[in-house]
Amino acid sequence: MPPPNTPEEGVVATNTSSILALRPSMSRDGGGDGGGGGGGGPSSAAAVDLRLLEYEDAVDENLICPICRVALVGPVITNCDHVFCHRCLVQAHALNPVCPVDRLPLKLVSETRPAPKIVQNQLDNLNVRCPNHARGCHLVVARSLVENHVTRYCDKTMVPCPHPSCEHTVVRNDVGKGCLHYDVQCEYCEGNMLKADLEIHQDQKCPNRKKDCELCSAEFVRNKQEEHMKECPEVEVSCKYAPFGCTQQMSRKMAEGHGEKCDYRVVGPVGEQLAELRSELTALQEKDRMKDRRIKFLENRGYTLPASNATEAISDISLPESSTNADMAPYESRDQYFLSLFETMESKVERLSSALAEVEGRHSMMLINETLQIKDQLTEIRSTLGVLGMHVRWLMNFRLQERGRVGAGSPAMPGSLAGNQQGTSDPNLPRRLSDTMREHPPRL
Amino acid sequence: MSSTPKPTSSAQTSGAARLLQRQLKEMSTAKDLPGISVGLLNENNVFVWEVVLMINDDCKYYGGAYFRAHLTFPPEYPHLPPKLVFQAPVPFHPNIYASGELCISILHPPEDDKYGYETAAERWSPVQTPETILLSVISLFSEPNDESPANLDAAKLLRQDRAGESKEFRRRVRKCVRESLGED
Repeated sequence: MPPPNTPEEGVVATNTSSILALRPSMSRDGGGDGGGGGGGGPSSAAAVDLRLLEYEDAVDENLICPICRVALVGPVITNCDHVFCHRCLVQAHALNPVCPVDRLPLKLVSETRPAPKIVQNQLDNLNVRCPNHARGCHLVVARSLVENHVTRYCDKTMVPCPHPSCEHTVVRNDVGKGCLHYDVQCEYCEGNMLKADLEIHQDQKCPNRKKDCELCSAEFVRNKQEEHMKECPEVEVSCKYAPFGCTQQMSRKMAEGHGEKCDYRVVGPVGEQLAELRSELTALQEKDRMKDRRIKFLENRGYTLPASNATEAISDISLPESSTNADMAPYESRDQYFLSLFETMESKVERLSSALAEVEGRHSMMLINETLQIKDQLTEIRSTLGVLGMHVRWLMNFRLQERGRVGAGSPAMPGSLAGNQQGTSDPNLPRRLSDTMREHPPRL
Repeated sequence: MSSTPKPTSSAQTSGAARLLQRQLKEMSTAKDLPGISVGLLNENNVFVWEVVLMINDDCKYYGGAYFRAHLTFPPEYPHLPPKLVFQAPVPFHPNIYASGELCISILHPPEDDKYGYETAAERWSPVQTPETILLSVISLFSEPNDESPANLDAAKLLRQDRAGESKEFRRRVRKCVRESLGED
């Protein structure tokens, strides 16, 4: 045991004492609760070891000591902001004077302090079961109150025997009965024991204490009640074909007769076979999994080696030659090498074909996308073309009519722009401008 | 008025036992620990765990292996580290002694500095859990550490392999991986 004590450890009396109390516990594993509440915890003369408690609900991860992994007891916080049980930190610090989480050097006294009140309160509010629940107290209570409950109120707490010269302890419930620590003989099995233990003995352990079954009037040893229930002929049981769907309930002795005419008896043997097969199946699956691993492993090996000389692996012709060099050493035989080579090739081809399929798919997708757009544009163009044609036809008609009218006045050439503009009336002017532009292309 | 139902002499041991029981339960129900399975070697002793490590196929040298080990905790756990001993076939690995014992800095107690070259920062801390230990071990299979070898042969061959001089390391490792999978 190295006690690399920092000089600061001796400064505060409470801490020194708890360290001293704990150090032997590291080597001999003695004296557990020396520093119960040094960091501000409520209990210093712990009647209840808070770390033995069972918590009713799951405890928030943030309230759990990273060392002992139960809800913090007497939480202390370090200057590097890590929280521990006071006792856990002291024990860890005695072995290694650093913060257990970040391993920065830590001075136990000057660099730690009790955790904030809010943490304490949250811990106090955790619900725990009474530590006497094994003796029959089923109370669930806030952690801060459990000690009070156990030391003052719980009927099942062990307390010193009221008799002044007796050194035994007794359940608080029985204190009023005087000292129960005298030898008595069990009336059933003739074993000797203390009076205090007699009741439990007779209830649970005595091999001779008999009891009549309420159902079948057979007599059985009292502590064997559960076993009797398994064979008592009057107990209600379900049909032996219940797993296959029979819902009938009847006493055990009737079940025998029912079994022979149960509607589900046909299914029974099939079901049994099914169960057998199922167990066989799981065994096989297990085997299969192991085989799979082996196969995978072998495949990997077959693959990694040719890949190590990947440049050669590209051309098929050069590969067989590489079998003569040192790379083939791990293979026991030439056949095996070729087999693995073949496998590699096969897997490569497979990969290539899948890649090819993918590329093909992508290409056709792209093609469709592109052509769709082009088609759209094409129809658009076609429709504009149609509209244009209509316009042109309408204009041509218009022009022809006009020419017919104007032609009566001036039979000279109406084709020139100036002539047109001069010759026509005002309302037609804007249309005629665009008209000329449309008429130009065919002339060009 | 105080009553302590349990003898205090076993307080520490029972504390460690309870902690281990809890951690065992947590680990065997955890879903996010691929490749690690834990159980008790002997139902009555929570201080010795049987561990199976299934090494990921992506791992360079040890991929696919199926290693068994025993994890033995001291009564002072978690203040003192457990010991991890690989069972036959012992992996051929620079950080594993021929006896199967694993040499990893986080499992060295903080106070004994027999190795001399480790800083305290790399050694055991009580906030470590079996889970963190086993994760470190698995990463040690991905990246063997040839700085502080327990198996000198393995370390030497690993260096040669890394330098591209020899494939002996690969071959020996493959052999033990094959053995771990139950091949002859």
